[in-house]
Amino acid sequence: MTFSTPATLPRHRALVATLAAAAILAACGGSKDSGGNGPAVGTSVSLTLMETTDLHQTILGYDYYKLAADPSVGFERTSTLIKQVRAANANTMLFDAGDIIQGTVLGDYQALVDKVPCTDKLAIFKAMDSVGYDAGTIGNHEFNYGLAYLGQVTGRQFNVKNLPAVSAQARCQGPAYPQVLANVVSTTDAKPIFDPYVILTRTMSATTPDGKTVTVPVKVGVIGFTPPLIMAWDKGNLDGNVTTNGLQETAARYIPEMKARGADIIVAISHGGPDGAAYSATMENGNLYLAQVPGIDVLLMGHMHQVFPNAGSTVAAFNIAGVDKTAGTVSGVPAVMANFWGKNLGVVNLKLAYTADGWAVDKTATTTSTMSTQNADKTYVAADATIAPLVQAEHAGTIAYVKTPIGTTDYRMTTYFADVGDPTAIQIVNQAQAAYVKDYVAANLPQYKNLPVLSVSAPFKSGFGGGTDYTDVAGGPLAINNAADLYLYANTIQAVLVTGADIKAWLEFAARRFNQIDPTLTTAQALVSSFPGYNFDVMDGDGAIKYEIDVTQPLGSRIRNLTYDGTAIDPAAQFIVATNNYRASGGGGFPGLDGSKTIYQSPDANRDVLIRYIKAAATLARTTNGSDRSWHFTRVTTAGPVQFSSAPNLATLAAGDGIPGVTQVQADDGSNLGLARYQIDLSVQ
Amino acid sequence: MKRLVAAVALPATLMIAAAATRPFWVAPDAAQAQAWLHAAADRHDAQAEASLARWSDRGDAQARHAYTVLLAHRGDAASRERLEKLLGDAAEAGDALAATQLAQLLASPRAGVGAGPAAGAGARAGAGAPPDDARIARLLAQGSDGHVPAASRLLALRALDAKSGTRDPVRAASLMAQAAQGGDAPAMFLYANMLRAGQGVKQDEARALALYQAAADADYAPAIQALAIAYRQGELGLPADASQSRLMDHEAAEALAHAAN
Repeated sequence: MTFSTPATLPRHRALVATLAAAAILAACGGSKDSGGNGPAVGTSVSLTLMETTDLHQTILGYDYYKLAADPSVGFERTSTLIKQVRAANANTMLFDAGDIIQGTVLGDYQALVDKVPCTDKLAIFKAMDSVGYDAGTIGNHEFNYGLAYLGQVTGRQFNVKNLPAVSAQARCQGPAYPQVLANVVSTTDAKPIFDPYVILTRTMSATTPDGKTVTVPVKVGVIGFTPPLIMAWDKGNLDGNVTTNGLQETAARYIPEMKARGADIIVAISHGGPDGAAYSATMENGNLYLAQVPGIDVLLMGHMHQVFPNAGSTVAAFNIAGVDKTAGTVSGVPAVMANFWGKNLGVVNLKLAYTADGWAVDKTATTTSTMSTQNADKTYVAADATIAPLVQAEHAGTIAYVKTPIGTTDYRMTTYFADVGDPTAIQIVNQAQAAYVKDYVAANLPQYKNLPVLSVSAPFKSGFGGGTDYTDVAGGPLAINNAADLYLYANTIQAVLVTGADIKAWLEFAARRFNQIDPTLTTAQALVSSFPGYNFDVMDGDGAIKYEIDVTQPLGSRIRNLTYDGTAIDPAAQFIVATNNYRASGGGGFPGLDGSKTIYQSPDANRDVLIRYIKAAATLARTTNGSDRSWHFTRVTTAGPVQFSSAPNLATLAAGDGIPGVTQVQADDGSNLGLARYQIDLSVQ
Repeated sequence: MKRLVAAVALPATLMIAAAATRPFWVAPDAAQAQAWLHAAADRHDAQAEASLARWSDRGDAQARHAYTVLLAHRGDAASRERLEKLLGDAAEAGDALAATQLAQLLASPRAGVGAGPAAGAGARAGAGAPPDDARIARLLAQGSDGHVPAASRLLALRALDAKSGTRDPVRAASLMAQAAQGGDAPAMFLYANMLRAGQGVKQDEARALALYQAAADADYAPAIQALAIAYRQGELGLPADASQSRLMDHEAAEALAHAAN
């Protein structure tokens, strides 16, 4: 059904929230210095504002699942860009647009595994503070770990229902820079849970009309916003504690106040993007409308994980009326968005001119851009060497966590020979998926309780990238990173209700993985087609389902002797198949799989389900978890060799995994990818 | 990330204000209907449900929509029966969206379909009347004619169904294109798959990529996952880029988490 569901609303929102005035917590106040002490009219200031956004605790250029360097991401390289900008400009300020504390294994490690103590600063804030920020806002992901944790790591004491009284809360280590957020309000006292804005006085280098260099104070007002949809996304953490207000209404309320308190210019940091849909107070990306509020001089955006300005962008949100993706404006206001994971730095160059009415932004002289950590020659800027030592302990702790054993295996689990039937890395995934779905059906879908539950999974890593692009988990201890090798993608589990005919069609489609073999040909024939390995679904069902693939037959006629419990499958009989959301929704274009057969959409990731299954099993044994040959090739004698590629010198591995007749014929298949050529004797399968 | 067409309703303060100022004889607006919906669903407020039912029976569109959401949310047999009647009346009155919703309701799994003993291995879920396929087809045609994208998508899927007896990939591609054009993210994804495979339409990987990107922009996880795979494998004209694939995978996880909430 496509109906929306109720109960997504925050309940009991106090009417008084609209009546009560929020406290003003500006760090600096005071009226505009418009008297005789101001600079000469015509004095100008060049001010460069920098933005990071969506850092997601990506501090170092490192992939914790691969346990390998990844220079394409990481704040340690953004820091290099920041220092370059500072070196080249007299007046700079640095801001962050939110989604800071969550998003990598390091984020989970510090929040959930080895919780950062109250007395210690979160790793990402250590890094950011070492560089020095002027202000920042709060993204939607800051709420993922709950308000207590958010309060701790930001050094705040929230006056909300589900936390102890403010007086009973410790004030923990937060970032050194002020964090502002105007549109999230406590239901307890109707006040914003963060300071809604701050007014920063900065002494800046200026040029007088007669060309002299002087220093002048400039008051920069900074206000922050987050997507109101946090109330749906983090309902469990937020419902009853806070409410959100619309961006436009919130800005219209506070910006005049900021001006009255002396702000010379206003910087709005909004963790969101633009959206051409009609304005609503709950819209996710309300910046098109936020920027229409009078007084905003600069808009720093985030959340969408995009680069803005970007003249070539095809992103729909950047191709709507009111957004100039080339000039970098939203509703006429200079705006930037700096991608994510520290890949880019947003830069806004402002020209301020002092007039009889105070400082004014010369919009004709304003430019916006982003800098990339990747150079034109595809290399990356050097990492700022001062960052890594700051987070050495957290980094090492996260690596240790990823390596923490979740179980052991008495066999090597690989996909080197998955194309010819090796189940060692696939059966365990199918077992975990099937067990999960069986449990769910038994508990929640009694109408299906008598149906057999099967499972499919494919070898996601099957040599596309060469001899190292295979799943390969050694026998011995299994850790979280091994689970990521066994299940590559962030899919979630789904269960589909299919017929025996659907299963046959499913497997026939998967069998496109193979070329049609002519047994009479004496020349060598390639077994594997261009059909991708990640679509070579292997179906399993605790040994109950068996089938053959006859590669001598044309597409659509290759599945033979398809049985369940030893009996030919009835085309009309029903089965439940555990799979992933991508496949169930139509990914790969499998016949009949289009989202219409799904009976259960689990919120749980296949990889997490696999980890839980391994933890519960404790020890994986080849006999129970890695030897069920649910399919094999139909036996046929071929006049010539049938060949395929895999990593070199592994024929004995194939034999040990129960795949007969595999021999290596060339240590290099000529692809220059570190692959060897093997041949398989189809007469002994 | 990205845009999410979420079913988050109006702020409670607005709802309360609307409820407090509206005379009972004035038809509800969206805020009032939402207020009743949430009162009925979350607080089991019988008066609110009665108000929804009354105004719905009088043909008020706002009330009917909210009432259908309530009944669908409940999911019990009586609610389903009431929902079928409600949507059926609206469809008969020419409401294309209601026709589409009714078709989806009729096609959704009940206590089981199919009958008769199994000739081979497998099982059947149990007794239950099979859905009225001809009626579903008529309702979807009404929805598609009324420019409801989901109806066009579902008709397209029927035209692809090998069991339907009227398999027509070309018509399916045309309907799917129509649904994708109407902004239906699943249709964008499925039509991209068809373009990629040349199923019922000339193969066009560039258009497929653009559609995956458009659906990804709408936070549709399978499309983001397709891009994650394409970057990993260097498909659809994209450069093989493991790092970009990982970033897309992260985006997909986020979209899935949003969808689950």
